[in-house]
This record gives sequence, structure tokens and C-alpha cells, in this order.
Amino acid sequence: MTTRQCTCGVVSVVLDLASHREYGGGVCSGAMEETACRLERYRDLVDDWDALLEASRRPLPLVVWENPLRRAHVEQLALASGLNATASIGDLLQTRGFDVGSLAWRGDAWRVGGLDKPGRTLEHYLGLMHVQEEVSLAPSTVLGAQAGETILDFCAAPGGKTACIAVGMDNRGTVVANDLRPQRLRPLRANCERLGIRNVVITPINGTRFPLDAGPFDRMLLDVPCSCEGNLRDSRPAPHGAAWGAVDGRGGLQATLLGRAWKLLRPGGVMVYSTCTFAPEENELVLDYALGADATIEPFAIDGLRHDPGVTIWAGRSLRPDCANLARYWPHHNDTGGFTIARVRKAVIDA
Amino acid sequence: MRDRYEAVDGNVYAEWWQEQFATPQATLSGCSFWRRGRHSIWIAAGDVDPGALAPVDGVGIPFLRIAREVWKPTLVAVIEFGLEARRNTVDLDRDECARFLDRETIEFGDARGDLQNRGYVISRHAGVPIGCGLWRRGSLESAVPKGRRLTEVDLPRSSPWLKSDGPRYVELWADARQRDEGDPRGIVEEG
Repeated sequence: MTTRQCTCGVVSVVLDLASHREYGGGVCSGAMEETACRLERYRDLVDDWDALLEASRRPLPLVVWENPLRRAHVEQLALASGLNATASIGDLLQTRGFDVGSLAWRGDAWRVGGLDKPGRTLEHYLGLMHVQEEVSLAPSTVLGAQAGETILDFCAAPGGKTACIAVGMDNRGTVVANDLRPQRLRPLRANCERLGIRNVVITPINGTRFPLDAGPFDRMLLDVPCSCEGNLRDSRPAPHGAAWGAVDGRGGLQATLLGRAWKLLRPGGVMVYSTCTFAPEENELVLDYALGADATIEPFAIDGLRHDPGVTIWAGRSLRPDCANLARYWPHHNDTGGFTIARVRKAVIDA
Repeated sequence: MRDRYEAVDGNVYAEWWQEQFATPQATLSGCSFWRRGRHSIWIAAGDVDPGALAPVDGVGIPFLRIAREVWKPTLVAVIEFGLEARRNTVDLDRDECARFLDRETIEFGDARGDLQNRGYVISRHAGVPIGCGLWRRGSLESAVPKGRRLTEVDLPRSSPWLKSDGPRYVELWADARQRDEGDPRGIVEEG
């Protein structure tokens, strides 16, 4: 049992971590007051406050995506199971009796009900599919990496987003997957190996001192360590030990990482800056501080995945106007976790 | 974990793989090979290059362990490159597959026991490679790594194809490097 004093001092909540896990995700009723209190600072940004809190209570749907690098294996298993060779992983799981539903915005990923232990399936063992929270699939879509390009994933562990990027490149080009945290390198390597990703180089380098002569890169993903407010529906603890919702001044590190990464991006290249938190202090304010005149935060939209725009004023501070092009994903809009994504293009310097 | 990854000429390893598993020529074409430490060969896409990056914790995927007399393919290499293997493969039914993934030894107890060679063969289920095992004297010792072990695997739905179609063993030599010239001891069992 853990007692946590809410930062506003109004509510003292006992958060029972054991029952939190038994729920399989979501936030147990005893902590709902804390959730509401922590998110209160965003009330003006949210269109339906009650719907947000309701979504917070529900466990996350389990989502799997099919690995295109293992298409031939999927075909073989499909035939062996009496299905057509064109059958997908979703079809294979459906024949097993699981409740399978397509995503609105991707044809190669599905929500699967009743699959309690996906890691025990032969399909997962063979690397035919990967389990990943739905909204965290979005950064790779926004990045749009092409076969043959050089990509840098600056904070790559545990490797789900790295894998999303790399499998779309047909093992051509290079993805440098970097992460400082030693305990997270093992799952990063394991995921890349299991999925058969052969165009990845894994580096354990402090991002703030990443060698500049390693660049320039065509595109990069900067999915920075953050306060993980968007993980409010996740049963697992925050990956780097952050107290949930503790907006505790990570902006300095995030801005430093962004500044370093920017120097490694080629002119004309694209960077995706993303967090699993809602705090503008870790999103718009970081972008406003660290980006210069050679950067443009570009608008984008993913058909079937609703987002809200970024803020251009926060806590009395005016920000660069293109912060409005950032995308903020609220849990109640798409029945996902929370996420924030910005797509930034570096200007081409005229000769 | 942070050994250097040295680019090497992978022809000898690719040729061993071709000989051992009779995969098509195109299977390993265009790949680059890297040596980590003394005994570990990794394989990556052709245009991957760590360049000046250091330290490096992985280049592509692990391919081959060359420490001992008998070379051992890695689990990920067998799954990645073993789909079209036509030699040194053993097909397992549902029960055998589950036991193999649980790191058990499968006894076949038949004439295959007179094969003197021993070496690593590809185990398959439902036509897909699931790992390699050490074959010797009619028994198949699962070489699934401890960290990948599945004690209760959830398998795709069964169909008659899984058990009886196709030959059970395909050209079982055990190890290409120990095979005598002109005496392949290959056995192709017709379905």
C-alpha cells in the first residue's frame, strides 16, 4: 500500500498497487480523486471532463500489430490452420476464438479481447506480431521513415517504436536505436532480435553527448523521458521510476536532448518529438525554448485517430504559433492512453 | 555486452549455412556479417554500418556461434533464414513442439539413431522453423535459450496438415562440417 499526498494538498489518497494490478489496468476507484486532481490543471483543454475520467477507469485494450518482415511465416501458419494464404495475424487470432477488432486508422493492427497472455502464443514467440499500446504506434506513422534512409531513435528502449519504424523499411537503410539506460537495453535488443530486424544498430550513449559526426540523419524520433501522465490507464509502473504525474522539471533534460538531436538532423529532415504526457511544460514549452528559426512544427493528421491541437499560450506565456500544430491525444477520444506528438521539419539552407 | 563489432567476410559462414540447410542462394545474399568477440557472428542488412559510433550494443541480429567444433545457429537466425530449409530439418507435431519449446529432449527411437554425426538441425512445426536442436543418436535436444523458453505454449489451431503431410525428416546429416565427402548419409523420407 502506498500513501501519496496529492500535490495540491487537498486530497490524501491511498493507492493500493496490488489491487491496481488486479484490475488489469485502469485506475482503481480509490485513486480516482488523485487522477482528477492531477489532471485538473488541464480542465480547460479537455472537451468532456467526465468522459476523460471515465476512460481513466477502464483498462487499456490490448493491441497487436503484424510484423511485415515475417509475412512468409504468417502465410505458412495460415495455410497450416486451414486459412487462405492472404490471412493476417488478426485472422489467425480470430480462428483461435479471440475477439478481434480492426483499428480505425491501421489495417495491420487489431484490438484483441480475451488474450490474457499474448507472450505465450507461438505467433509472438516467432516474432510474427508485437504487443503495443495503440497510441504509441502513432509516432512511427507520423515519422514516415522510408526504406534506405538513416534514422535515429534517440531514446529507443524498450524498442516498440523502434520496431514500428524499422519493420516499415524492409530491412533497408539503417536505424540507430539509442538509449542510455542499461536495464532497458536488454528488452530493446530482445525485441529487435525477436522481430528479425536486421537494419538496427543499438548504441548505449548518453543522448546529451551523442557524437555529432554520427549524423546527419534523414529523420529522427525523440520520444523523451517524461512524467508519463498519459499512462494513467496502464497497469505497469512508469518505465523509469517516475512518480505518475510528477511534472518535476524534466523540461531541462528534454530541451537538452532536443538541442543535441537537432544538430544531428539533416537540413530538410523530419524530427518527431513525442511524450506520453499532457503537460505543456514537457511539450510545447520545450519546443518553444529549444527550436529556432530553422524549425517548423508541421501540421499533420492521422485519419481515424482524433487529436486536439497544441497550446500557444500556457501559464500566461505566449509560445511560437506553430505549437498549435502539435497533436495531443486524450484517452477518451480514441479509447487509448494519452500521448503528445509534434512533427518538426528542419529548413533547407539555400546555398 | 559492449564488445566491438568487427566487419568480416561472411562467405565461410554463408557457405556453411547453404550446405547445412540447403536454403536458396538468395536467402543470405546482400547481408553483412559482423564478429563480436571471438565466437559470435552477427548478420545485418547490407547497408548497415555503425561507422564511428561507439560503443555499440548490437548490429543486426545474432547469427552463429562458432565456439565449438559444431557450429550453432541462433534461434533468431533459424526463424529468420530457415523457412525454406531443405536439409537437416525435423518436423514436430503439437505435443513435440510444446515440449521442444519447453527445452525438453525429444526421443525418436528409430533407425535415425545409427547416424554417427551430430549437429544442429532446424525444428519445425506447421511448416515454420521454431528453433534449432542438437541432433545425436536419434534424439533431439532443444537448444531454445532459457530466456525464450515457453512452458505452456499457445499453439494455432490444429489441422491434419500439421501431423502427416510432408516428410518428417529431410536429409538429416547433422553437421555439414563433419560430413564425409561422397558419403552424405542423407535420408529423405517420402511422405
